[in-house]
Amino acid sequence: MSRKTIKVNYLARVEGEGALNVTVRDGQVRNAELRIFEPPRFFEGLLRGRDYSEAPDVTARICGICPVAYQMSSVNAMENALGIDVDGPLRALRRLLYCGEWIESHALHIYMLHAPDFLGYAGAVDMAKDYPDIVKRGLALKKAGNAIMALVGGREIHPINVRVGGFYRTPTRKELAPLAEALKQARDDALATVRWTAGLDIPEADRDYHLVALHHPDEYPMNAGRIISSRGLDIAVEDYNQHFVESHVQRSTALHSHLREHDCYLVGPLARYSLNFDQLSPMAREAAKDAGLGATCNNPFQSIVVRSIEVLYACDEALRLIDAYQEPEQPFLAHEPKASEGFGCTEAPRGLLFHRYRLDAEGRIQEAQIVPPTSQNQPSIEADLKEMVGGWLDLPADVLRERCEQTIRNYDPCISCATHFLKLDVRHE
Amino acid sequence: MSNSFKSVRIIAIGNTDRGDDAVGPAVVQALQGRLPESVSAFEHNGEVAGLMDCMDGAEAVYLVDAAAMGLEPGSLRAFDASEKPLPSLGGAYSSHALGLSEAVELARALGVLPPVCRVFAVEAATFEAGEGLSAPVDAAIPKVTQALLDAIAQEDGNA
Repeated sequence: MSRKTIKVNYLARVEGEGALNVTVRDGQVRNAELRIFEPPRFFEGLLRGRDYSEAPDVTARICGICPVAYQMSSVNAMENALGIDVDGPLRALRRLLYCGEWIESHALHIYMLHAPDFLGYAGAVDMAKDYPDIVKRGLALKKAGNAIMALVGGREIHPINVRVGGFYRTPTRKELAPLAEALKQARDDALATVRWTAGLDIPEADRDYHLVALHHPDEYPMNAGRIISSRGLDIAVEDYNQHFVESHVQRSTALHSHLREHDCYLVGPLARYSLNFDQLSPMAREAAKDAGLGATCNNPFQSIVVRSIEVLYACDEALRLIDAYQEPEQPFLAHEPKASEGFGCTEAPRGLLFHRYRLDAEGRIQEAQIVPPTSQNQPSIEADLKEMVGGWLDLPADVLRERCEQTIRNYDPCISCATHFLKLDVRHE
Repeated sequence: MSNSFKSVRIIAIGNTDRGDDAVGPAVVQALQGRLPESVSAFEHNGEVAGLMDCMDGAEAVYLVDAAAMGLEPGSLRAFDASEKPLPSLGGAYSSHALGLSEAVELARALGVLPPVCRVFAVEAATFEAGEGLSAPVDAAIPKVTQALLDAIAQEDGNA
């Protein structure tokens, strides 16, 4: 029996600390285990006993890359608990803020973390030496996202302007005008990004995913909608726990999430795109067609193209929102705490993010539940590897290792969110 | 952004809520009123696109950051990154955000690294969440501040 072990000390360009073990026996992949050993951060325990109004700022601290997602899921859950319906310009402003996060997070992942895989570079710095103008375009796009975050959210990282019922302060139309100018250039850069990523050498793969995403009849999902799936699931956000279950697995400090009926499932750009293609703007749909994408996409390596489509959409949508913006009369809706339970679900750049809170009559948090996208995608990452590594066993060891790393980076996983670098061990037995 | 800053810039990278990561901002505070007219000093969170922008068009940048170099807490190391790459300073807490060394190398690869780039790295004792510098890092502030003033004066002398 031949046995070979391939090791890398850590997998770069993935957020968090963990390891991957792939075991191959008699030419068959027997096991693929993503182990996350980052210490749990106990955010759910930290929230207990705190005032409901603190949740958006506390949970935003879970992640420096998708703080808006945490803010939005928590604020939605609190508003659901307290019976507050944030609508009109305040709702539009929150969607604009979410566009900012999608642009900056996706641009970072596309240009700095993922593109080097397709072009054969160890990282963005090496790639920048040969493709300076491409990398500059990525940085410019990211800056456009940062600008939205700074203006609407109060600062670029860990925004501070969102509160239960609305915002602390809302911008004037005049303040948004320069943002629109920057976003027009960003939209051109995003279109160029779609064309560029579509031209990358993308491995062939077609996975039979159970796709799960939010769906809203009138808009591409970010902040609101029902949870739907490619296999017929269609539920309200408050019914999440009836269909999804988290379990502890020995190898990981992050919980694994499963669908009770269908086991593992996929959240993130591929799921959002495939379940919501018709909700994209005409410009984004056209760009997708020109990039060779259909209305659905099941090739995880094409996630870089789908992210580019979402960046284009987010620029387009942000411009639409700014154009339609009417300054609200009040920055937030007044409300009173009450004993209640609330549910919130939004689309973080890397997928569905569910929050649930139970409050006492004074508005103190009695219970908090946070299910991040990376927990939900962990079983799917393992399933991808188990399914695909078998077809790559003839590749040289270093190429096989890189392909495994790339497979994980398809997900843009945020391991810190789920519980810092990934050790990879591919074992041939 | 670059137009709003002078051509010699001290950029302090750090998070005031993460223990000794606040050393850069603390140095900027200590430099208030002590800098020549031609020099601006400001804090930055280290986000790579913004940091490129802060460096763009400068004649000289002096970067101050907390580091994990395996030295005694409060130890200062000054590096000249003008010509050659920085050693790893162990500062990249998140691989979704690039570390200072990578940001400097990215700036060099993109041709936006100023002709003079010096990095002042202070060994941290802790990066734990919560306010407050550790005693050895707090005690190192006057030393770091003076080293920056001396470097700027020396560069001025060379100009």
